[in-house]
Amino acid sequence: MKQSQTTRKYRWFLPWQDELEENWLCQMANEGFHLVELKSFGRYYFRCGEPEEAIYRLDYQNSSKKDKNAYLQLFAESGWEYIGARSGWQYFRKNSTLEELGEIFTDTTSKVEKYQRQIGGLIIFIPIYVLLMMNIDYSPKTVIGEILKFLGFVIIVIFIMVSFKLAIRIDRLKKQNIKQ
Amino acid sequence: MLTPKEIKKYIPLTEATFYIMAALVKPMHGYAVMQWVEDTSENTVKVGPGTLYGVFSNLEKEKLIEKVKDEERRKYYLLTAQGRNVLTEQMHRLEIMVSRGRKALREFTKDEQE
Repeated sequence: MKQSQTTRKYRWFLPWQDELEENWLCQMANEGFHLVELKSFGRYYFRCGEPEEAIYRLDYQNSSKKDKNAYLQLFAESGWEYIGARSGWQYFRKNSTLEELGEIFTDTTSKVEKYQRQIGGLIIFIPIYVLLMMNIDYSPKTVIGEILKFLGFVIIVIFIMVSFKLAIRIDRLKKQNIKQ
Repeated sequence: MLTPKEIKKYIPLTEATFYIMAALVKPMHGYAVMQWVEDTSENTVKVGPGTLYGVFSNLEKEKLIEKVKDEERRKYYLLTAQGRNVLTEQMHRLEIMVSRGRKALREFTKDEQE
């Protein structure tokens, strides 16, 4: 009997957990679940099939790239199958039994730049925060004002935490580079 | 033309950037550059597509390379005069390093023999 059904899974991952995400997808492939589509709100669609040895790799690029065709062409020619993108994350897969390069980033500089692009992507939170805070001055002690204040607080905490975690990753990559 | 100070801003080039710039003395597209680097570096340097795309974007932004042809889904790039300046300076520094390193190693072996 042919198995061609798909299954849906939910999952969240934080911006500095890209390697965990890659490993999880490899593990899913080992168990016979192959990623076919990504949708918003952490939805993953998997095709159920035979277990495979696959490598998954994530790049981070802000969407609305004019040269997305050239970008995808480059990955396709290097043997990477494009699965899709969500919130800037670009998902690629390659069969790991092939005797080809299993990495999309081959030096520290480009790995660091990937995390720097993410920090750059987070900068949009700053004007949102400023707007929320501006509103508070005009509506003191109202329910909406309190909600906005809380939202602003949450956003700035997330922003600081993510930037901090990404900075740690960058620092660790640079230290690894010295050891090599 | 770039001033010596402007050139120094780019030095030292990473291994990947160095080979990519060297490849682009002729118009080439991304994947061809990846293969060229692997072959001509005698397999010492491999460039993944993520790294190559990043280097291309940076070099184009800094006008060290320029797009010369847009063929369907492939973009061809070529080294600019500024790019050539930077590559020349990097070569100059590498030559000094190689000759200094050779001398140092020769002295080291002499000391060992004594």
